[in-house]
Amino acid sequence: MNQSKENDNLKLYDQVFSSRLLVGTALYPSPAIMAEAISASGSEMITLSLRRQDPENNQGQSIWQHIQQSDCALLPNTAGCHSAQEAITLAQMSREMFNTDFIKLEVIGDDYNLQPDPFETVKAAEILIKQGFKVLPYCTDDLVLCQRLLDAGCQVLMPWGSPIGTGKGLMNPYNLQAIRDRFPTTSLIIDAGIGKPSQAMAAMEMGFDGILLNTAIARAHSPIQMAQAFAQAVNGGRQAYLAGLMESRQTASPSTPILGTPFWQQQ
Amino acid sequence: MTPKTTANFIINIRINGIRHEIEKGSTISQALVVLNTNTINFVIALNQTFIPRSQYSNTLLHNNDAIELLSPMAGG
Repeated sequence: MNQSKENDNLKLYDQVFSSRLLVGTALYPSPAIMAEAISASGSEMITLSLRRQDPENNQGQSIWQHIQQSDCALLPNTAGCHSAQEAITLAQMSREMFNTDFIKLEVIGDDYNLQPDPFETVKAAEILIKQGFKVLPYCTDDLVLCQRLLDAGCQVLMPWGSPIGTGKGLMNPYNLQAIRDRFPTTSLIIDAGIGKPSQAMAAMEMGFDGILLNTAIARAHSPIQMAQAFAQAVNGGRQAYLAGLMESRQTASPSTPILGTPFWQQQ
Repeated sequence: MTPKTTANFIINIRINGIRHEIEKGSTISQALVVLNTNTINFVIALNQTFIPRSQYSNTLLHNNDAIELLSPMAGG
């Protein structure tokens, strides 16, 4: 909380970003709207994936063309992987395709709520870090898991707010605050579950370093307008955190001076 | 590549889960040409192992090999 506004950048490994909002590229009504929404969000890093190409549907190529035209850094993901080995192979393929060492490590352990598998995630992180990747692991809000990922060499953690695509916001603020408090110098990004700008702002007020989201923007009636709303919320929350929030209190305390209160009669 | 009539000269491989027949002794590069793969931007894993592009021309395919041929796509 000692940074001035001018030097307040998001640090992800050896790179710095002025925007603290990372956005996904999926689920938009069209590639053109996706590109406009990304621009409106001010994001400087966007997520994307590798998939089998559908010969009947060339949308992947169109999306890729729009992404290439943006100035954003790329954060490929390992979405859909269920084992460390699958994630490692996909990360290696992504590094060649997208020419970046950054990888959003995602190893799913349960298909019902898309909860990450902590054991396979740590296993994959250990190997990928040794192979020179800059790993951003999607993880739960478990404090010990976060410590294990840091032990593996991760310099950024991405605990979930709530399950992917639910929009339920910060399900467990106590756990998240504990992670923030215990790892004060680690870059922490809330990834997944953010449905409203107010939820993103709340996370930033808690001192989280950034927000990664996709569905809440892409599925809005106006993705471009929602992207702007999230950008303002993330910035507002960050400024509030830096400014220092007041302590909450149990009893009321008047803000207007009592001295000179009108209509007061001494008995 | 001349079609062979003898089964011993043909191997079966799968690309993205779809079965293809190619000539025995083919490399990944040769298979991509023969199969007229219509993808511009792609990367490959062979039997769940990443194969760098620089090795396509010297990586031999064998019967029942499985190739994943992946391209950029939207993601969250």
